[in-house]
Amino acid sequence: MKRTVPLLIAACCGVVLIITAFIPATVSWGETATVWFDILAAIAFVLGGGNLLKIHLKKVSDRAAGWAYSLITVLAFLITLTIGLTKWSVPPATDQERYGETFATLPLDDLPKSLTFTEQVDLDAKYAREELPDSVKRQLQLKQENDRIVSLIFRGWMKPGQAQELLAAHQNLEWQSAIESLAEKAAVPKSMRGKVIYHADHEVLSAAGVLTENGEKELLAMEASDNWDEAVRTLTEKTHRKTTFQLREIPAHFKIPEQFAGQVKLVDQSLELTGPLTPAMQNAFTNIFPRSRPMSKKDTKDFVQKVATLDGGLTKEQKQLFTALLGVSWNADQLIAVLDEAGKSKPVIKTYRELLKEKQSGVRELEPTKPSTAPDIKLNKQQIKFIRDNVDNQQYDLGNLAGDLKERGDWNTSQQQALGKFLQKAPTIGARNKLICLALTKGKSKLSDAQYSYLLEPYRVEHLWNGQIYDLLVKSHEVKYPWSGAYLQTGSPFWFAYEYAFKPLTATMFSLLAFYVASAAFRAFRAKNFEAFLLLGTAFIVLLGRTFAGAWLSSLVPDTLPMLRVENITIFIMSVVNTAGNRAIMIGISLGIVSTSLKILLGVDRSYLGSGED
Amino acid sequence: MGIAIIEKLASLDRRWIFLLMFLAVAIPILLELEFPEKPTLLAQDVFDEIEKLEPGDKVLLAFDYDPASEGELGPMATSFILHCANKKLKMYFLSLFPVGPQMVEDGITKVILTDFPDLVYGEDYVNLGYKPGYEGVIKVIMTDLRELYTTDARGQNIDQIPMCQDVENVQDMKLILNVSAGYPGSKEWVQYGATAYPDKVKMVAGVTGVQAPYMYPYVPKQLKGLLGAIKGAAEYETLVNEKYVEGEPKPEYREGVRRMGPQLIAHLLMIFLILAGNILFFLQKRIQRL
Repeated sequence: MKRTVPLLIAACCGVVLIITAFIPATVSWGETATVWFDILAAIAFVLGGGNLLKIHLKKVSDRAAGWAYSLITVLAFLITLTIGLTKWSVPPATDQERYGETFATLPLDDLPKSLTFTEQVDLDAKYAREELPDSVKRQLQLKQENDRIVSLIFRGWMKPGQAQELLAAHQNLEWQSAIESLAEKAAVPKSMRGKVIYHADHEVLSAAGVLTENGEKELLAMEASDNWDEAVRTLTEKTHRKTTFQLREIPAHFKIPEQFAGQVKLVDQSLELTGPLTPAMQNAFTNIFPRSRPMSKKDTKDFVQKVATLDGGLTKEQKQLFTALLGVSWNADQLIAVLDEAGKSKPVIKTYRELLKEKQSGVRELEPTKPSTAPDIKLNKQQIKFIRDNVDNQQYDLGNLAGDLKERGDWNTSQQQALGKFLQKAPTIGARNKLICLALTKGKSKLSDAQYSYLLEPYRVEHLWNGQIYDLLVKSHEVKYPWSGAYLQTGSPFWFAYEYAFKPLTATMFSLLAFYVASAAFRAFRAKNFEAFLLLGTAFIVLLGRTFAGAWLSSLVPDTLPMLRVENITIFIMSVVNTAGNRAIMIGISLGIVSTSLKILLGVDRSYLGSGED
Repeated sequence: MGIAIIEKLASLDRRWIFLLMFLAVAIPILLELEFPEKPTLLAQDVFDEIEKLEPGDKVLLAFDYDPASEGELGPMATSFILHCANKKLKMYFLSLFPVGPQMVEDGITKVILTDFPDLVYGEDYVNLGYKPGYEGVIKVIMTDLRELYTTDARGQNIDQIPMCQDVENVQDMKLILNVSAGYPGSKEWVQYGATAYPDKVKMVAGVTGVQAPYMYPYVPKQLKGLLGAIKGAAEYETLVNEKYVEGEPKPEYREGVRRMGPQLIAHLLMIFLILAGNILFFLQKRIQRL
């Protein structure tokens, strides 16, 4: 039995794989067999590890010859296994941690009844027969009566991503209209939007930032059940956790953004934070550095001159490059074009319910959009003049531009957003100066320490500040999935072992071959007979042909005899002589494989099962 | 006297030979010796096969090697990525070697993150990581990628990665670019990939010097082009740099050519050693006859 079962497994897998090679319809059988092979192979890895321990520990225990090497092997194995499996000192994966959110455990069944949303529908039952998207499987129920879907029941709030997946699941207006209505009903209430959400896959109630007293009251009012109350109170408590962070340096112009003044306080050199730092806060805290903007000729000249007068000076080429780089920036015309484009009214996208209504009223060709009722807004002469006059005025704060343009003419939110995006695209002064430094030191050009310090100071301040805010983000965050990081995360012990032990050791072992081959070439590679002489001649040609020496020697060969060039002889040897020999060997091996495989499949050859003695 | 010298040379301590080999490799590295490379037909074929592709075409980059072979295969892997990134191809990386994903990450860091920061992970390139199972993996993913690859190397669901959503199997790739150090590697990709689906799957490979002779029989039908060892890498690298790199290429993009310097001197030393060994061998034989 002990030998029969493996024999049967091998025979079955082999036969299945042979069948799949000849019958395309059975390809999936082969895939399944191969996946099972993978699973068995994984188990073999574990057995291999056990066997390694057994053999080497016995050697150590018996103090057999070379036991110290065995001990090193066992220790290296155990250390690698431990730090790899436990992901020791590996930070959690940033894309799975949901920074800024705080979780409180709440099973799906404990959600308040008021968070169960129902949409009465009359849909074909075929939608219930098809699989729902993974993200909503646990929350959405399709209730059927008389072979029709009569209601869609959704538990918890529906996230925009879930709604999108459901809408995309079936390209049918009836379905999409129903989902659209359900998504509206199941959306987070306006007062709580962006502040709380329920993650059904994790079974947690989540809050972004601090859950305020009003927010807590609103949530508690949804249902009076112990589990719900506890989850809400836990969430409130957790989101009021205090974090104090000592700052090494504070940018001169830093002020706490008004909208976060209630959560963050700057006390001496420390930031005192209530709750976690959200990505929005992180963005607001780091987006404080001035961005590059058009410069007048005078400002450009002064800046270049300032750097040129510092210790080290600038060459003529450096000055020209410097001036050119400062000129590479956005300009007033580009900004005006962007704002005019943003001011144009955009067609409004119709809802699925509107489209369904049109379809039911007999419209044949449905248009997904309808014209906007809002008028087009174009910048007036005053606004354009204001932009032209001020964009290169370094004293003017571009943060006030939206307000100033609004005072001088028509202005809408779309233009406001476009202006914000446009200005954000420009690099900060620090980033710009860094690029200038790189460009000015390309090739043999150099800058002095004083010039580096002057140009890179804004970048140093920015880099240090952004790093501090990131550290605050991590410090104020409650780790949710400590094992989610990649085991080879840079700086982790496993990475260290790989980078500084495994990599150089394996490379060294491989490199040693060169020394042994050289020694063997001197001692063993002898032309003792005609065959050995042929082998030697071939080796010479191939060795020369694989380097520049072959091409150099071949330069002596006349162009009329290209076949005598060393590199061409090498190619001939490899692609004709070598190929012919290899093909013969491969055909022989293949025949051997067929014969051996048949013996294994039929149980004639059982040597792979072991001797059967133990 | 002469006999004594011959006997002494014949029984020369091998540590002298080790020292010679060390110097043959170290001196060209220190002097940064470089020689021009004239691409051979096989390297040109690899280059042309990638050139034929259109921007947005999908290519599978299977990096089946480890740090032991990095010296020989790293430069061609770098050039493959550089070429694909310049051609704006969609790059799908994977490996059948346990430490292959690190080789992939090294290549991504060296080329994409450094010189192509506009390429987006998940939209322009993706690292599918390592899967155990040797040729079994190739056999399965040739017909169903999701049977084995449910996530990428970072643990992200493959269905949430935009560039993976319309990929059913490896037959959807326009070309397989394999860098191989042994088993499983090019031979397996040829046998279970290119040969099994001759009308759909095209493949080029870069292999170690030891493997190259075994791959020649597959050229040109199953294998459209072949880069053999550092020589092949240097030739292909020259072609890529000539077409896509303006001015002097960065040292990272000249590694193949740079490593050919030590290779030339080491090969010449080997030839000298073989000749010297044989001369001594015949002299010894003559002395014995006397």
